[in-house]
Amino acid sequence: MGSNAMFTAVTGAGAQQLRIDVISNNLANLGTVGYKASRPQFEDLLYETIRPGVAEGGSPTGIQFGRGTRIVGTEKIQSSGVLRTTEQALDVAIDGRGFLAVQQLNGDIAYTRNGSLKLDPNGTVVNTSGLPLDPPITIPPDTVEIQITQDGIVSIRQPGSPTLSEVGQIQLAVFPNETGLTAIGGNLLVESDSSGAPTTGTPGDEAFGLIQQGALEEANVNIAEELVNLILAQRAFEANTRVISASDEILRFVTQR
Amino acid sequence: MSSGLYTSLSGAIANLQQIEVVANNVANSDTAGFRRDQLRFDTVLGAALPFARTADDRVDLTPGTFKLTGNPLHAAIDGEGFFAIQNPDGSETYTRRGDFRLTAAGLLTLPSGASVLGTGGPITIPPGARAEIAADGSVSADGAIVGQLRVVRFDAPELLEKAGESGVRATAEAGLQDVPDARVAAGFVEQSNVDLSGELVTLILAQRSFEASMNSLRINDELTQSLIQQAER
Repeated sequence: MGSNAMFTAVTGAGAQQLRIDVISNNLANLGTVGYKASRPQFEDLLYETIRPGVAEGGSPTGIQFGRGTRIVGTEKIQSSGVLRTTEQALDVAIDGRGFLAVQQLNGDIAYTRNGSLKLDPNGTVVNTSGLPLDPPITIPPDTVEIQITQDGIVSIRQPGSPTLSEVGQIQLAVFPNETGLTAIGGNLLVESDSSGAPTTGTPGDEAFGLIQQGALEEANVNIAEELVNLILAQRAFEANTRVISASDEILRFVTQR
Repeated sequence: MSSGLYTSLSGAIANLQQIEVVANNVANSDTAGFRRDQLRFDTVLGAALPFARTADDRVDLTPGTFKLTGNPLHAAIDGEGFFAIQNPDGSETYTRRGDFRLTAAGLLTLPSGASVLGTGGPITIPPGARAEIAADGSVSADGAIVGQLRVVRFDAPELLEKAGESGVRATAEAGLQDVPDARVAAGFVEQSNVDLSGELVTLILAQRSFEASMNSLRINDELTQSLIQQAER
Protein backbone atom coordinates (compact mmCIF):
# COMPACT_ATOMS: atom_id res chain seq x y z
CA MET A 1 0.00 0.00 0.00
CA GLY A 2 2.76 2.42 0.91
CA SER A 3 4.45 1.38 -2.30
CA ASN A 4 1.60 2.74 -4.49
CA ALA A 5 2.67 6.28 -3.66
CA MET A 6 6.24 5.28 -4.44
CA PHE A 7 5.42 4.04 -7.95
CA THR A 8 3.27 7.11 -8.61
CA ALA A 9 6.18 9.35 -7.60
CA VAL A 10 8.52 7.37 -9.87
CA THR A 11 6.36 8.30 -12.90
CA GLY A 12 6.54 11.94 -11.80
CA ALA A 13 10.31 11.89 -11.29
CA GLY A 14 10.73 10.18 -14.68
CA ALA A 15 8.62 12.86 -16.36
CA GLN A 16 10.74 15.64 -14.87
CA GLN A 17 13.91 13.83 -15.94
CA LEU A 18 12.57 13.72 -19.47
CA ARG A 19 11.66 17.41 -19.30
CA ILE A 20 15.27 18.19 -18.33
CA ASP A 21 16.49 16.06 -21.28
CA VAL A 22 14.37 18.12 -23.67
CA ILE A 23 15.49 21.43 -22.10
CA SER A 24 19.15 20.45 -22.39
CA ASN A 25 18.70 19.62 -26.08
CA ASN A 26 17.01 22.99 -26.65
CA LEU A 27 19.87 24.82 -24.93
CA ALA A 28 22.50 22.79 -26.79
CA ASN A 29 20.92 23.94 -30.07
CA LEU A 30 20.85 27.66 -29.25
CA GLY A 31 23.24 28.30 -32.13
CA THR A 32 21.65 25.92 -34.64
CA VAL A 33 20.21 27.86 -37.59
CA GLY A 34 16.49 27.24 -38.00
CA TYR A 35 16.23 24.95 -34.91
CA LYS A 36 12.77 24.74 -33.34
CA ALA A 37 12.52 24.27 -29.58
CA SER A 38 10.72 21.19 -28.25
CA ARG A 39 8.36 21.02 -25.31
CA PRO A 40 7.22 17.76 -23.65
CA GLN A 41 3.53 17.31 -22.88
CA PHE A 42 2.26 15.22 -19.97
CA GLU A 43 -1.09 13.81 -18.94
CA ASP A 44 -2.39 12.06 -15.84
CA LEU A 45 -2.96 8.30 -15.92
CA LEU A 46 -6.20 6.45 -15.36
CA TYR A 47 -7.77 6.61 -11.92
CA GLU A 48 -8.55 3.75 -9.59
CA THR A 49 -11.98 4.14 -8.04
CA ILE A 50 -11.86 2.93 -4.43
CA ARG A 51 -15.43 3.87 -3.65
CA PRO A 52 -17.87 5.33 -6.19
CA GLY A 53 -19.98 8.34 -5.27
CA VAL A 54 -23.57 7.64 -4.32
CA ALA A 55 -26.65 9.75 -4.95
CA GLU A 56 -28.05 9.50 -1.42
CA GLY A 57 -26.97 8.33 1.99
CA GLY A 58 -23.23 8.65 1.50
CA SER A 59 -20.49 10.72 0.02
CA PRO A 60 -21.57 12.02 -3.40
CA THR A 61 -18.04 12.17 -4.77
CA GLY A 62 -16.53 8.83 -3.76
CA ILE A 63 -12.80 8.21 -3.63
CA GLN A 64 -10.45 7.94 -6.60
CA PHE A 65 -6.70 7.49 -6.58
CA GLY A 66 -4.56 8.62 -9.48
CA ARG A 67 -1.54 6.62 -10.53
CA GLY A 68 0.84 9.26 -11.80
CA THR A 69 1.76 10.88 -15.07
CA ARG A 70 3.07 9.96 -18.49
CA ILE A 71 4.40 11.76 -21.51
CA VAL A 72 1.97 12.04 -24.45
CA GLY A 73 4.22 13.79 -26.88
CA THR A 74 6.85 16.41 -27.53
CA GLU A 75 5.69 19.42 -29.41
CA LYS A 76 7.99 21.34 -31.76
CA ILE A 77 7.32 25.01 -31.18
CA GLN A 78 6.88 26.52 -34.62
CA SER A 79 7.27 30.21 -33.80
CA SER A 80 9.80 32.02 -36.00
CA GLY A 81 13.30 32.68 -34.78
CA VAL A 82 14.96 36.07 -35.17
CA LEU A 83 16.19 36.72 -38.73
CA ARG A 84 19.89 37.59 -38.67
CA THR A 85 21.41 39.40 -41.65
CA THR A 86 24.49 37.67 -43.07
CA GLU A 87 24.87 39.34 -46.51
CA GLN A 88 25.71 35.93 -47.99
CA ALA A 89 23.96 35.61 -51.37
CA LEU A 90 22.99 31.99 -50.75
CA ASP A 91 21.69 32.44 -47.19
CA VAL A 92 17.91 32.45 -47.23
CA ALA A 93 15.51 32.81 -44.32
CA ILE A 94 11.84 31.94 -44.49
CA ASP A 95 9.76 34.80 -43.16
CA GLY A 96 6.51 33.02 -42.25
CA ARG A 97 5.32 29.46 -42.75
CA GLY A 98 7.00 26.81 -44.83
CA PHE A 99 10.02 24.53 -45.08
CA LEU A 100 12.72 24.11 -47.69
CA ALA A 101 12.78 20.61 -49.20
CA VAL A 102 16.07 18.75 -49.65
CA GLN A 103 16.74 15.36 -51.18
CA GLN A 104 18.48 12.92 -48.84
CA LEU A 105 21.15 10.49 -50.03
CA ASN A 106 18.54 7.67 -50.16
CA GLY A 107 16.31 9.80 -52.40
CA ASP A 108 13.71 10.62 -49.74
CA ILE A 109 12.69 14.21 -49.19
CA ALA A 110 13.41 15.95 -45.88
CA TYR A 111 12.38 19.43 -44.75
CA THR A 112 14.33 22.18 -43.00
CA ARG A 113 14.13 25.80 -41.91
CA ASN A 114 17.91 26.09 -42.19
CA GLY A 115 18.50 28.24 -45.27
CA SER A 116 22.27 28.34 -45.06
CA LEU A 117 22.79 27.13 -48.64
CA LYS A 118 26.05 26.40 -50.47
CA LEU A 119 27.23 25.29 -53.90
CA ASP A 120 28.72 21.88 -54.54
CA PRO A 121 31.55 21.36 -57.14
CA ASN A 122 28.91 20.91 -59.89
CA GLY A 123 27.22 24.23 -59.08
CA THR A 124 24.19 22.56 -57.52
CA VAL A 125 22.61 24.43 -54.59
CA VAL A 126 22.94 22.25 -51.47
CA ASN A 127 22.35 22.64 -47.74
CA THR A 128 25.17 22.61 -45.16
CA SER A 129 25.25 18.79 -45.22
CA GLY A 130 25.57 18.73 -49.02
CA LEU A 131 22.00 17.61 -49.76
CA PRO A 132 20.53 19.23 -52.92
CA LEU A 133 17.38 21.35 -52.80
CA ASP A 134 14.23 19.83 -54.25
CA PRO A 135 13.44 20.88 -56.98
CA PRO A 136 17.20 21.17 -57.80
CA ILE A 137 18.77 24.48 -58.77
CA THR A 138 22.12 24.76 -60.57
CA ILE A 139 24.23 27.92 -60.74
CA PRO A 140 26.61 28.21 -63.78
CA PRO A 141 30.33 28.51 -62.84
CA ASP A 142 30.89 31.94 -64.39
CA THR A 143 28.15 33.65 -62.33
CA VAL A 144 29.05 37.07 -60.92
CA GLU A 145 25.82 37.79 -59.02
CA ILE A 146 23.02 35.70 -57.53
CA GLN A 147 19.70 37.26 -56.72
CA ILE A 148 16.84 35.55 -54.90
CA THR A 149 13.53 37.37 -54.83
CA GLN A 150 10.98 37.22 -52.01
CA ASP A 151 8.85 34.81 -54.06
CA GLY A 152 11.81 32.44 -54.39
CA ILE A 153 12.95 33.07 -57.97
CA VAL A 154 16.71 32.53 -58.26
CA SER A 155 18.34 34.68 -60.95
CA ILE A 156 21.98 35.11 -61.93
CA ARG A 157 24.06 37.60 -63.88
CA GLN A 158 26.91 36.41 -66.05
CA PRO A 159 29.97 38.44 -67.13
CA GLY A 160 29.26 40.87 -69.95
CA SER A 161 25.51 40.59 -69.55
CA PRO A 162 23.63 43.56 -68.11
CA THR A 163 20.49 41.57 -67.32
CA LEU A 164 19.56 38.80 -64.89
CA SER A 165 18.50 35.40 -66.13
CA GLU A 166 16.30 33.03 -64.14
CA VAL A 167 17.84 29.65 -63.22
CA GLY A 168 15.34 28.21 -60.75
CA GLN A 169 12.56 28.61 -58.26
CA ILE A 170 12.78 27.81 -54.54
CA GLN A 171 9.61 26.10 -53.38
CA LEU A 172 8.26 25.81 -49.86
CA ALA A 173 6.25 23.03 -48.22
CA VAL A 174 3.63 23.38 -45.49
CA PHE A 175 1.98 20.62 -43.43
CA PRO A 176 -1.44 20.31 -41.77
CA ASN A 177 0.33 19.64 -38.46
CA GLU A 178 3.87 21.06 -38.47
CA THR A 179 4.36 20.26 -34.77
CA GLY A 180 4.02 16.56 -35.66
CA LEU A 181 7.02 16.38 -38.02
CA THR A 182 9.70 13.88 -37.03
CA ALA A 183 13.17 15.31 -36.42
CA ILE A 184 15.93 13.10 -37.87
CA GLY A 185 18.93 15.20 -36.86
CA GLY A 186 21.08 17.28 -39.18
CA ASN A 187 18.45 20.02 -38.72
CA LEU A 188 16.09 17.98 -40.91
CA LEU A 189 12.49 16.95 -40.41
CA VAL A 190 10.55 14.27 -42.26
CA GLU A 191 6.87 13.73 -42.91
CA SER A 192 5.06 11.49 -40.38
CA ASP A 193 1.57 10.06 -39.94
CA SER A 194 0.95 12.85 -37.49
CA SER A 195 2.21 15.71 -39.68
CA GLY A 196 0.16 14.81 -42.76
CA ALA A 197 1.25 15.16 -46.39
CA PRO A 198 3.10 18.30 -47.50
CA THR A 199 1.53 20.95 -49.73
CA THR A 200 4.20 22.63 -51.87
CA GLY A 201 3.90 26.07 -53.33
CA THR A 202 5.54 29.34 -54.24
CA PRO A 203 6.81 31.60 -51.46
CA GLY A 204 4.52 34.57 -50.90
CA ASP A 205 1.39 32.73 -51.96
CA GLU A 206 -1.35 32.34 -49.40
CA ALA A 207 -0.17 30.18 -46.44
CA PHE A 208 3.48 30.36 -47.57
CA GLY A 209 6.12 32.66 -46.11
CA LEU A 210 8.48 34.94 -48.00
CA ILE A 211 12.13 34.24 -48.82
CA GLN A 212 14.64 36.74 -47.41
CA GLN A 213 17.98 36.62 -49.20
CA GLY A 214 21.10 37.33 -47.13
CA ALA A 215 19.55 36.37 -43.81
CA LEU A 216 19.33 33.30 -41.59
CA GLU A 217 16.73 32.31 -39.05
CA GLU A 218 18.20 31.79 -35.58
CA ALA A 219 16.96 29.05 -33.24
CA ASN A 220 13.66 30.02 -31.59
CA VAL A 221 14.95 28.87 -28.19
CA ASN A 222 14.28 31.43 -25.46
CA ILE A 223 17.17 31.06 -22.97
CA ALA A 224 15.37 32.74 -20.08
CA GLU A 225 12.30 30.52 -20.51
CA GLU A 226 14.41 27.36 -20.76
CA LEU A 227 16.36 28.25 -17.61
CA VAL A 228 13.14 28.94 -15.69
CA ASN A 229 11.77 25.60 -16.91
CA LEU A 230 14.99 23.92 -15.84
CA ILE A 231 14.64 25.27 -12.29
CA LEU A 232 10.97 24.24 -12.14
CA ALA A 233 11.76 20.76 -13.46
CA GLN A 234 14.52 20.31 -10.90
CA ARG A 235 12.27 21.37 -8.00
CA ALA A 236 9.44 19.15 -9.22
CA PHE A 237 11.90 16.26 -9.50
CA GLU A 238 12.97 16.86 -5.91
CA ALA A 239 9.35 16.96 -4.74
CA ASN A 240 8.76 13.56 -6.37
CA THR A 241 11.86 12.08 -4.75
CA ARG A 242 10.64 13.51 -1.43
CA VAL A 243 7.45 11.43 -1.85
CA ILE A 244 9.57 8.37 -2.63
CA SER A 245 11.65 8.82 0.52
CA ALA A 246 8.50 9.42 2.63
CA SER A 247 7.07 6.13 1.33
CA ASP A 248 10.39 4.47 2.05
CA GLU A 249 10.41 5.75 5.63
CA ILE A 250 6.89 4.45 6.11
CA LEU A 251 7.84 1.00 4.87
CA ARG A 252 10.85 1.04 7.15
CA PHE A 253 8.71 2.18 10.06
CA VAL A 254 6.31 -0.69 9.43
CA THR A 255 8.96 -3.37 8.98
CA GLN A 256 11.34 -2.40 11.76
CA ARG A 257 9.06 -1.76 14.74
CA MET B 1 -10.11 -6.68 23.27
CA SER B 2 -9.00 -3.07 23.03
CA SER B 3 -10.76 -1.08 20.32
CA GLY B 4 -7.83 1.35 20.39
CA LEU B 5 -5.90 -0.97 18.12
CA TYR B 6 -8.45 -0.62 15.35
CA THR B 7 -8.82 3.11 15.86
CA SER B 8 -5.06 3.52 15.45
CA LEU B 9 -5.05 1.29 12.39
CA SER B 10 -7.82 3.33 10.73
CA GLY B 11 -5.71 6.46 11.25
CA ALA B 12 -2.67 4.80 9.70
CA ILE B 13 -4.69 3.69 6.64
CA ALA B 14 -6.23 7.14 6.14
CA ASN B 15 -2.79 8.75 6.19
CA LEU B 16 -1.41 6.23 3.70
CA GLN B 17 -4.26 7.18 1.36
CA GLN B 18 -3.40 10.84 1.86
CA ILE B 19 0.19 10.11 0.79
CA GLU B 20 -1.04 8.33 -2.35
CA VAL B 21 -3.06 11.38 -3.33
CA VAL B 22 -0.10 13.71 -2.68
CA ALA B 23 2.08 11.42 -4.83
CA ASN B 24 -0.32 11.74 -7.76
CA ASN B 25 -0.65 15.52 -7.35
CA VAL B 26 3.13 15.97 -7.25
CA ALA B 27 3.64 13.63 -10.24
CA ASN B 28 1.25 15.85 -12.22
CA SER B 29 2.65 19.22 -11.21
CA ASP B 30 3.60 19.72 -14.86
CA THR B 31 0.50 18.26 -16.56
CA ALA B 32 -1.33 21.03 -18.46
CA GLY B 33 -4.86 21.61 -17.13
CA PHE B 34 -4.45 19.07 -14.28
CA ARG B 35 -6.71 19.60 -11.26
CA ARG B 36 -5.36 18.42 -7.90
CA ASP B 37 -7.25 15.94 -5.74
CA GLN B 38 -8.07 16.70 -2.17
CA LEU B 39 -8.92 14.00 0.37
CA ARG B 40 -11.21 14.75 3.24
CA PHE B 41 -11.41 12.67 6.38
CA ASP B 42 -14.19 12.23 8.86
CA THR B 43 -14.64 10.48 12.16
CA VAL B 44 -17.11 7.69 12.52
CA LEU B 45 -18.21 7.60 16.17
CA GLY B 46 -19.79 4.21 16.44
CA ALA B 47 -21.06 2.98 19.80
CA ALA B 48 -18.21 0.53 20.20
CA LEU B 49 -15.53 1.51 17.75
CA PRO B 50 -14.62 5.08 16.83
CA PHE B 51 -12.48 5.28 13.71
CA ALA B 52 -11.18 7.69 11.08
CA ARG B 53 -11.80 7.16 7.39
CA THR B 54 -11.53 8.92 4.11
CA ALA B 55 -14.87 10.58 3.55
CA ASP B 56 -14.40 11.59 -0.04
CA ASP B 57 -12.05 12.87 -2.64
CA ARG B 58 -12.74 16.21 -4.25
CA VAL B 59 -11.30 17.66 -7.37
CA ASP B 60 -9.89 21.07 -6.47
CA LEU B 61 -11.08 23.33 -9.31
CA THR B 62 -8.96 26.37 -8.44
CA PRO B 63 -7.66 27.71 -11.77
CA GLY B 64 -3.99 27.12 -12.65
CA THR B 65 -1.76 29.88 -13.97
CA PHE B 66 -1.99 30.72 -17.67
CA LYS B 67 1.26 30.19 -19.52
CA LEU B 68 1.89 32.13 -22.72
CA THR B 69 2.87 29.79 -25.57
CA GLY B 70 2.01 32.01 -28.53
CA ASN B 71 0.63 29.00 -30.43
CA PRO B 72 -2.58 30.13 -32.20
CA LEU B 73 -4.10 26.69 -31.52
CA HIS B 74 -3.73 26.96 -27.74
CA ALA B 75 -6.55 28.32 -25.61
CA ALA B 76 -7.26 28.76 -21.91
CA ILE B 77 -10.75 29.36 -20.53
CA ASP B 78 -11.03 32.75 -18.89
CA GLY B 79 -13.34 31.99 -15.97
CA GLU B 80 -15.53 29.01 -15.23
CA GLY B 81 -16.02 26.08 -17.60
CA PHE B 82 -14.43 23.13 -19.38
CA PHE B 83 -13.68 22.26 -22.99
CA ALA B 84 -15.75 19.30 -24.24
CA ILE B 85 -13.65 16.39 -25.54
CA GLN B 86 -14.68 13.31 -27.49
CA ASN B 87 -12.58 10.22 -26.76
CA PRO B 88 -11.79 7.57 -29.39
CA ASP B 89 -14.40 5.27 -27.75
CA GLY B 90 -17.08 7.93 -28.30
CA SER B 91 -17.40 8.97 -24.65
CA GLU B 92 -17.30 12.65 -23.69
CA THR B 93 -14.98 14.09 -21.07
CA TYR B 94 -14.31 17.67 -20.03
CA THR B 95 -11.00 19.38 -19.49
CA ARG B 96 -9.35 22.70 -18.70
CA ARG B 97 -6.43 21.63 -20.87
CA GLY B 98 -6.04 23.75 -23.99
CA ASP B 99 -2.79 22.73 -25.72
CA PHE B 100 -4.62 21.65 -28.85
CA ARG B 101 -2.97 20.44 -32.05
CA LEU B 102 -3.98 19.28 -35.50
CA THR B 103 -3.82 15.71 -36.76
CA ALA B 104 -2.66 14.82 -40.27
CA ALA B 105 -6.32 14.94 -41.35
CA GLY B 106 -6.68 18.46 -39.91
CA LEU B 107 -8.76 17.42 -36.89
CA LEU B 108 -8.37 19.59 -33.75
CA THR B 109 -7.30 17.30 -30.88
CA LEU B 110 -5.63 17.15 -27.49
CA PRO B 111 -2.05 15.78 -27.41
CA SER B 112 -3.55 12.38 -26.47
CA GLY B 113 -5.44 12.31 -29.79
CA ALA B 114 -8.95 12.79 -28.36
CA SER B 115 -10.84 15.27 -30.52
CA VAL B 116 -11.93 18.68 -29.30
CA LEU B 117 -15.68 19.21 -29.67
CA GLY B 118 -17.18 22.30 -31.21
CA THR B 119 -20.82 23.28 -30.83
CA GLY B 120 -21.44 21.27 -34.02
CA GLY B 121 -19.18 18.27 -33.33
CA PRO B 122 -15.43 17.79 -33.94
CA ILE B 123 -13.60 20.67 -35.63
CA THR B 124 -11.62 20.11 -38.85
CA ILE B 125 -9.21 22.55 -40.49
CA PRO B 126 -8.67 22.24 -44.29
CA PRO B 127 -5.09 21.12 -45.16
CA GLY B 128 -2.53 23.91 -45.38
CA ALA B 129 -4.85 26.57 -43.96
CA ARG B 130 -3.73 28.83 -41.13
CA ALA B 131 -5.82 27.91 -38.10
CA GLU B 132 -6.51 30.31 -35.26
CA ILE B 133 -8.65 30.46 -32.12
CA ALA B 134 -10.27 33.80 -31.27
CA ALA B 135 -11.19 35.25 -27.85
CA ASP B 136 -14.86 34.25 -28.30
CA GLY B 137 -13.82 30.60 -28.81
CA SER B 138 -14.39 30.55 -32.55
CA VAL B 139 -11.92 28.57 -34.65
CA SER B 140 -11.02 29.98 -38.05
CA ALA B 141 -9.02 28.66 -41.00
CA ASP B 142 -7.49 31.37 -43.22
CA GLY B 143 -9.94 33.85 -41.67
CA ALA B 144 -13.11 31.83 -42.33
CA ILE B 145 -14.84 30.46 -39.21
CA VAL B 146 -14.97 26.65 -39.25
CA GLY B 147 -16.21 25.95 -35.73
CA GLN B 148 -16.89 27.21 -32.23
CA LEU B 149 -15.28 25.54 -29.20
CA ARG B 150 -17.90 24.01 -26.94
CA VAL B 151 -17.47 25.17 -23.33
CA VAL B 152 -19.59 23.64 -20.58
CA ARG B 153 -20.03 24.29 -16.88
CA PHE B 154 -21.49 22.20 -14.05
CA ASP B 155 -24.07 23.09 -11.41
CA ALA B 156 -22.31 20.78 -8.96
CA PRO B 157 -18.65 20.64 -10.04
CA GLU B 158 -17.76 18.79 -6.82
CA LEU B 159 -19.52 15.73 -8.24
CA LEU B 160 -17.11 15.33 -11.16
CA GLU B 161 -14.98 12.22 -11.53
CA LYS B 162 -11.41 12.14 -12.78
CA ALA B 163 -10.99 10.43 -16.15
CA GLY B 164 -7.22 10.70 -16.73
CA GLU B 165 -5.66 12.74 -19.58
CA SER B 166 -6.35 15.92 -17.53
CA GLY B 167 -10.05 15.25 -17.97
CA VAL B 168 -13.11 14.80 -15.80
CA ARG B 169 -16.25 12.75 -16.40
CA ALA B 170 -19.66 14.18 -15.63
CA THR B 171 -21.85 12.21 -13.26
CA ALA B 172 -25.61 12.29 -13.77
CA GLU B 173 -26.05 14.64 -10.81
CA ALA B 174 -23.35 17.11 -11.84
CA GLY B 175 -25.78 19.14 -14.00
CA LEU B 176 -23.98 19.89 -17.25
CA GLN B 177 -24.79 23.18 -18.97
CA ASP B 178 -23.41 24.83 -22.07
CA VAL B 179 -21.73 28.23 -21.74
CA PRO B 180 -22.43 29.93 -25.09
CA ASP B 181 -20.64 33.21 -24.25
CA ALA B 182 -17.41 31.77 -22.81
CA ARG B 183 -14.23 33.81 -23.26
CA VAL B 184 -10.91 32.15 -23.97
CA ALA B 185 -7.36 33.46 -23.89
CA ALA B 186 -5.82 32.38 -27.20
CA GLY B 187 -2.12 31.51 -27.21
CA PHE B 188 -2.21 30.53 -23.52
CA VAL B 189 -2.27 27.11 -21.85
CA GLU B 190 -3.63 26.67 -18.34
CA GLN B 191 -1.08 24.90 -16.14
CA SER B 192 -1.57 22.35 -13.37
CA ASN B 193 -3.01 23.87 -10.17
CA VAL B 194 -0.69 21.80 -7.95
CA ASP B 195 1.31 23.87 -5.46
CA LEU B 196 4.42 21.83 -4.68
CA SER B 197 5.17 23.44 -1.32
CA GLY B 198 1.60 22.89 -0.11
CA GLU B 199 1.73 19.25 -1.22
CA LEU B 200 5.04 18.67 0.58
CA VAL B 201 3.63 20.10 3.82
CA THR B 202 0.63 17.74 3.50
CA LEU B 203 3.07 14.91 2.85
CA ILE B 204 5.11 15.61 6.01
CA LEU B 205 1.96 15.91 8.13
CA ALA B 206 0.53 12.67 6.74
CA GLN B 207 3.81 10.84 7.28
CA ARG B 208 4.10 12.01 10.90
CA SER B 209 0.43 11.25 11.59
CA PHE B 210 0.97 7.79 10.16
CA GLU B 211 3.91 7.27 12.49
CA ALA B 212 1.91 8.57 15.45
CA SER B 213 -0.93 6.17 14.62
CA MET B 214 1.52 3.29 14.38
CA ASN B 215 3.12 4.31 17.70
CA SER B 216 -0.23 4.38 19.45
CA LEU B 217 -0.94 0.98 17.89
CA ARG B 218 2.32 -0.30 19.38
CA ILE B 219 1.54 1.20 22.81
CA ASN B 220 -1.87 -0.46 22.70
CA ASP B 221 -0.12 -3.71 21.96
CA GLU B 222 2.33 -3.24 24.86
CA LEU B 223 -0.51 -2.44 27.24
CA THR B 224 -2.32 -5.60 26.24
CA GLN B 225 0.91 -7.54 26.64
CA SER B 226 1.55 -6.22 30.15
CA LEU B 227 -2.07 -6.96 31.11
CA ILE B 228 -1.63 -10.55 30.00
CA GLN B 229 1.65 -10.82 31.93
CA GLN B 230 -0.02 -9.44 35.08
CA ALA B 231 -2.79 -12.00 34.75
CA GLU B 232 -0.29 -14.83 34.39
CA ARG B 233 1.41 -14.04 37.72
